[in-house]
Amino acid sequence: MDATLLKSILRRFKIADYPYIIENWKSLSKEFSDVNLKHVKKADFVDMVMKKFKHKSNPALAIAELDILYLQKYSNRKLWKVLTVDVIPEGDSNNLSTVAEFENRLRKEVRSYLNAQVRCIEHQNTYWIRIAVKDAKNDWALPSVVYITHVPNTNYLMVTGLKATHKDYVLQSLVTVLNGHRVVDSHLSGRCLVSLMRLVLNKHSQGASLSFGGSPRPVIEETLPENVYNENHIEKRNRDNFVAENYGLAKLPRLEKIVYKLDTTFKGSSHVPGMAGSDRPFHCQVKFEGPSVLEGLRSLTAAGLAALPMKEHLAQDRNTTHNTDNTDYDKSERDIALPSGVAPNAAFAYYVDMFVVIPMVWTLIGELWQSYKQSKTISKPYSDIPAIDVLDDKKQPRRGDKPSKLKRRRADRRILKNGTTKQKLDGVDNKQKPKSRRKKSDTSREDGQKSGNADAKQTSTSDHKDDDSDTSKRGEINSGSTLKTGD
Amino acid sequence: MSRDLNQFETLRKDELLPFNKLPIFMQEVMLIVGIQGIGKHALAKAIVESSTSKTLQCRTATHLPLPEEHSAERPRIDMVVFMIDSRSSASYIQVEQSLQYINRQYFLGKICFIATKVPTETQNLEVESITQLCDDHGSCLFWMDPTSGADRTVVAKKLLEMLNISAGLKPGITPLLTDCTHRLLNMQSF
Repeated sequence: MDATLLKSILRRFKIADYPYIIENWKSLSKEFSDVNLKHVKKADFVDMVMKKFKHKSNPALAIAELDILYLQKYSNRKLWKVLTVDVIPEGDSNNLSTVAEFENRLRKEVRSYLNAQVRCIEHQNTYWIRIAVKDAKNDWALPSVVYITHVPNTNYLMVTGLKATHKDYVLQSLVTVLNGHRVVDSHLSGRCLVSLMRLVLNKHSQGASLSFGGSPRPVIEETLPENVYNENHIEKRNRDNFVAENYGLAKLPRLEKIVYKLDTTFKGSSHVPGMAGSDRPFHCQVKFEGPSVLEGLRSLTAAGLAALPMKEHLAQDRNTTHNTDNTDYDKSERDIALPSGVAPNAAFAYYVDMFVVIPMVWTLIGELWQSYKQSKTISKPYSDIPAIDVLDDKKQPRRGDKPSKLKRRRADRRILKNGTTKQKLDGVDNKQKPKSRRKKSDTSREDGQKSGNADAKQTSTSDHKDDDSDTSKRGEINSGSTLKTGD
Repeated sequence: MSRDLNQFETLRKDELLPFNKLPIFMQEVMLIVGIQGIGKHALAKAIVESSTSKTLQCRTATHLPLPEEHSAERPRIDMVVFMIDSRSSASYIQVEQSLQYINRQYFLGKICFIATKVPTETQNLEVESITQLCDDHGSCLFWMDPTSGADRTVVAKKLLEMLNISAGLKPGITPLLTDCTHRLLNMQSF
């Protein structure tokens, strides 16, 4: 089993990474000293490693090391999530000064809950932890591996690949090792691990000194000849000052996504009258996505496309260390006019006017809904269920499908029933009328005969009319069939 | 009749006027309007370099109306050039808005448009919308690649010719006359 695991890890690397493996793989670096890597093929390299691996006493540790090496090289391929450990302020410190101590303690904790392998490596002042959990097939497969990075003497954890099945156990053991009492989600996630660390560790740096641990970018000053004069130079200077104050001089960390979530009242009731009286909060979400959103916001401001001063939630984003902002229901009325943060000039991509977009979206949804409903009701003459239930009921046939045998039988039975009832009704007085449902279908049968297709069109008008129109349709079918039976 | 019309003509406070100030001897002033980062200063430098006169002045602005600071010191502006970036619709919108702050007398040959040449993949504006804007205002349009020096110098020389005429430095020719000759080469007439 180890061999297949090792092969799968080795095949992930590119050929250009082989020198990197040989340099950094501590378990096997001595045996690799005489290897010539010129023009080596992937399969040959894998075979060579497998041969040398046969004599290894503790293969699991070496595999874990190789996996961590891959993670260090390609950490951008994972989505990392930042968790904060709430440390007990007056508690005893664990005095875990070295990686080995940390690893031993963590292994002990994790193994009390799970059948797992724990490996921890220190690289660039960061602990890289790999916890492989044995899955249901009794296998150390890669999908059930949890990777954690932790900067010592801080209470932040960057986690990836955490499954719900062993989430609680892993986090609990980490909390005990770090001497905390609970773990809180920081609402910060991204692919660039270094950026996340920069954001989290330089949380409190403010103003012009804001650098996130990076070196300041070179300032390019434009020199103009005497005859060229910039009319907006005061405006430009103010904007540059604002950018330097709010975003600092260094290059900003990379974040792929910023999400603003907002619960507000629905304001497009003129378009969707059905929503007018509802008191339920309306969930809105605005997403900024790109390779580096913070840098994008900065350059948007520097280019003069964002109106100044910017709204607080946009300008102060890099200090909150949140990727996802939840805004309260009360605040929404006065504070969260997101569109006013960005100039109307920037309408092409960044101007997100919630209160214009949402009614539009709602009308669109309404139209789609109506058309969907109409299509459902028209294309399914055999269904006796109202159109709303059709969506929920998964067992209902699709549009193109033929109705099942059972359905056909049921429909036929109903036709026969109604046919007989009609024959009876013709001869009986009004006092002995059947129950209200049959009465409804009967009355609508007459309407159906009169108006024909006009009833089918009514289905799209409102939900309340649906039942009637459906019954009327049923009436149409029944009336047609009664004639047949009569014949 | 024309006098009556002039009587009722109302001027905006922040409107750019061609004849509200006295001209300075042998001075020609050009104003380049365009979004930030479009290459206004590079073009202005090219114009200054290719000109022999020392009294030529190039002013750049991101939008109109011009800021009120130093408005008293600002000389009379003889010609306005609008730059449109084909990659961003924001630049087009900004030019459209700025055109409202220009006096109608500028449209008699004292105005000109420049659109940037970009690869079609990155082009965000339709060519037709740009040519339509120029034809609506009865002015000529130059296509220029702001990154290439050769393009800049060619356009700068053309602009200098127009500026000389609109500043009244070429005796016997008025900007209206050149504008009438340009009209034959209207974009939409082809």
